[in-house]
Amino acid sequence: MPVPAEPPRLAEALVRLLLPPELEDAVAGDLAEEFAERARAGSRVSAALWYWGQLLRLRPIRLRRQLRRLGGAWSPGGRRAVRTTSSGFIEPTMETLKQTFRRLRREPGFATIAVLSLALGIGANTAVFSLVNVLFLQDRGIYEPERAVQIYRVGDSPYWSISWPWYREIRDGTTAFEAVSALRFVPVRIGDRDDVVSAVRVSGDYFGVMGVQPALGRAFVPGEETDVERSSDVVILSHDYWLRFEGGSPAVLGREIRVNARPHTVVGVLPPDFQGSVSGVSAGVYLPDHGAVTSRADNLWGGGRLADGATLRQAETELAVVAAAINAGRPEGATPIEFNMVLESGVHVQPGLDEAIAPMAALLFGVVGLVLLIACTNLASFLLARASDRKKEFAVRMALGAGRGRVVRQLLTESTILSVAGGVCGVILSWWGLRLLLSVPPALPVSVDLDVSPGLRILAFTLVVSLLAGLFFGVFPALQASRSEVAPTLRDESGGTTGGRGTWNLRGVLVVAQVALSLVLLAGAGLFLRSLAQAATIDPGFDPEGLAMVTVDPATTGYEPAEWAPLYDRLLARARALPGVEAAAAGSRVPLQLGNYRTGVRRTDVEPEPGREYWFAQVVYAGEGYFEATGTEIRRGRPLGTPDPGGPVPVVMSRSLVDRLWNDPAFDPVGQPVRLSASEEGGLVVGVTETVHVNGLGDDEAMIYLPMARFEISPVLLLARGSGSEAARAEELRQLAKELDPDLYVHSAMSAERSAGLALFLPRMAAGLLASFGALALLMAAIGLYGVVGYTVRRREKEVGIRISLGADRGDVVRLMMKGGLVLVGTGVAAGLVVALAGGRLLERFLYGVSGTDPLTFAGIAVVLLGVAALAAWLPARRAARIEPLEALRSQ
Amino acid sequence: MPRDEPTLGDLEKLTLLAVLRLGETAYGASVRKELAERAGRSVTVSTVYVTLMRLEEKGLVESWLGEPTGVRGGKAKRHFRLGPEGAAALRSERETLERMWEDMEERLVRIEAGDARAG
Repeated sequence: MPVPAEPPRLAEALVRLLLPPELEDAVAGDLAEEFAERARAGSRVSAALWYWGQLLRLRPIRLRRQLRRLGGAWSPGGRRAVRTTSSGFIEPTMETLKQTFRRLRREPGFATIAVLSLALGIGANTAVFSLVNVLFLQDRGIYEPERAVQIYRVGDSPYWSISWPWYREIRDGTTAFEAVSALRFVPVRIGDRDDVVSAVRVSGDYFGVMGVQPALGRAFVPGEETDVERSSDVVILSHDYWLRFEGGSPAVLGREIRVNARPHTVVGVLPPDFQGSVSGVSAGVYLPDHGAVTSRADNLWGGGRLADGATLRQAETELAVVAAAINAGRPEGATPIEFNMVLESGVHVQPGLDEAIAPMAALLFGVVGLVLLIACTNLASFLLARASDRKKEFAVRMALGAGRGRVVRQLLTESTILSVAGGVCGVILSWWGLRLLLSVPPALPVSVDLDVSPGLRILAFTLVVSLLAGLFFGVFPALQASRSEVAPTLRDESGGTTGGRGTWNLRGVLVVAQVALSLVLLAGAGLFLRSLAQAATIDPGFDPEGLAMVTVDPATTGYEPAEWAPLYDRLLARARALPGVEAAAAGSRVPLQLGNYRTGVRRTDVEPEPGREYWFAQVVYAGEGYFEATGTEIRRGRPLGTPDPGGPVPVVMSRSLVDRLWNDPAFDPVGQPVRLSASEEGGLVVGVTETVHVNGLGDDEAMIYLPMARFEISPVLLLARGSGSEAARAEELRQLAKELDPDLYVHSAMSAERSAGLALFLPRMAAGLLASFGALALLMAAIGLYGVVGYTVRRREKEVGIRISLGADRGDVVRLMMKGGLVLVGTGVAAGLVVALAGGRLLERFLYGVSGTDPLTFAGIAVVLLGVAALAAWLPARRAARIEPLEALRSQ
Repeated sequence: MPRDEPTLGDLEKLTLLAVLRLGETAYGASVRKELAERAGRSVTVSTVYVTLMRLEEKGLVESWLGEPTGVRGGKAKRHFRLGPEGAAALRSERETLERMWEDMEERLVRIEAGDARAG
């Protein structure tokens, strides 16, 4: 090897002189190298000339200035031979993060859509989980709930209420419990406010059973409720109530507040974590149940806490003994009593409700899970498309030794960033949505109060869901990228005509999944909508249109029972004088109002069946003109009229009750005597109504109407029917009642339609949720399909160009491009139908008047879906027809 | 292009590309040669280094000093390679150009063919 030529000495010395030391080696070395090359290729002279030329054009000042701006990076020992990205874990991760953010910033549209769709999916899941959390997972604030029980009586359901005398027998006849209590929810009026506060009236050592110490003051003293003299009326406030209405002031202890017009002394405030006996139903105040003793209340929920050393088995045995003693004292033929215990630790909301809420929660979770799955599928599809666009980039990276791990890591970083961002937005969305949902107060007799603010557990759930989602939709493109072969990709085989084949790639499978999932959701929505439409055609048995109502409650205002009826008469006289009012009446309730107020009735001409003393029917105490005002049709006989003060009580019953008592819906019971649990005097049937729905359009509960005039009823509904706005009329009713007596407790002024709306609340909400999620899913599936077909068209551009230049019809080309997409859609629809038909059966329990496999619904949804899908495939396929053959062949 | 990304001069772009092309063998002289042979841009050694330093200042390339070699009178090379920011900047440049070029080939051809209606 010849010794390389040396550059001219003088020139080289000058170069060294002019250069800063940091540049000396690099620049002088480069010059020497090139000089040698030139000398070898040409002559030494020309090389020397070149060298001098470079020297003359050397810009030492600029080089030094630029070097200074590097801040010593090039100084010897600065960053000598340090390769910043070759090792370590943190550094590459940070770098990956930075790269990812840069990519996403360059594609704001993609990033926005990705984050938004994830936010919707994750937000929906977070919202449902928040509800499940507060209803099922939250600590109810009961001390050692595995030692506390709820006590029910077995009736038509295992969770029937017990009566005060039975409670007393349990309390006195057992030793396994260290504390026994009974409670009932009652609405009360506090002070002069015209709102309804739900209160819990307790008998016995309720707080002992719950194991709850008041945060302030004291609990009730056992026996406080049996102090019939009521020398000391006391009240304990819930923590929420205390904060809202008493400003959280400790000075509240000893203060007097009026409960149902009677002064009560505040003796305690409960701790914040105590959820009460029924979570979600917020009791504002707790009161001793004085009334239970005298009224022999039979709507109590029992409770007990096991004594030290006592077992559940022992308590069961003792309860059975108590029940046997009670049964021995009951008349022949009376239904035997049987008690049923439920451990508090196994109760979420209320044992009966738990059985209804759990499948609802499961259904909701299923729906939102599908929505998130679709969102993820869509993103996976997007990322796959991008991944194959970036295939070459990945191949280059790998060829340069980036390593599969690094490429996969980058893709997963990208999907994780997206999904975590989606999760953050999702938490915000879910919080908004839940607040919106819960701010619409349903017309329930109790106030629903769910604390759904995002706590640690909800945030953890969202984080896990987000990460799983990110992993799910990131793993497909990552896998594909890591499989990509370096050499063929770099040789660029993507332009070939074979590249576009293969409908059944990963993206195709994802589209099938999406179409199937959105079909499932849409079919669910369709079933609920059909169910709603069916419900609208049902005659509820009364006419809510034009009916306004307000609740007046003289009892809690301090009126004596004898004053109630005259007050109602005066109110009704004023109501009838209102302009536009056609009919007005009083009554204890209207249909579809929800509630459980039953009374017993039986025939006198046959012995009661063993074990069934009375038939229990939903009871309405109706004033004069009630049937006319509510639009309830009397099918046989007459309305209640004005009953005599003595003699048998006139009774109107619904056809379903007639059917139950006489086993014959066509039987004419008018003139038949009946026995009533509500009155010693017995009753006489005077009329029959159509079946009336009390608790929902699906039920046909037996109804019995008793005349208000024979009973003392408070509170009552003032009802007025007429033209014009029902809401305005309800407000007029409220005002006239307040004018008559400003102290009178008047509340819940509303239209009967609003009151009835709750009966349709569930199907309406289900239909609304499923329809909006289904539409969202369809949109995402359409976008996904659009992408797939568009991508196919792009990849097969050359092939299409050839086809067109060979004389293919452009319409045929479009059809060809669409075909692949439509095969996917067809497969998706078929798969979706199978799943939806199976799922429909599960929905049947929530549906009314429509089968879970309703062919009309399924066919309709399939047609809609196919139509939308065809459009989504046609839009990008159309582009294929516009391809210019020459250009297509020239490109690439 | 987002505001916070440094704008690139023409020579800087070409130099970045040269560094990218040369891969592991990028250093002053090879970059200069690449610019001359492929881009037809003849620049002085001095200019190449000013440009490379500016690119490093912008964080687009990384450099490190190699071991001295006999070929160049016992002097060490300063190696260059593209950093992730440099790759991103190049990609962005390319995308901008491609966007500008989209559908323009035909017009260009027509104009070249003397068709006055084009453009």
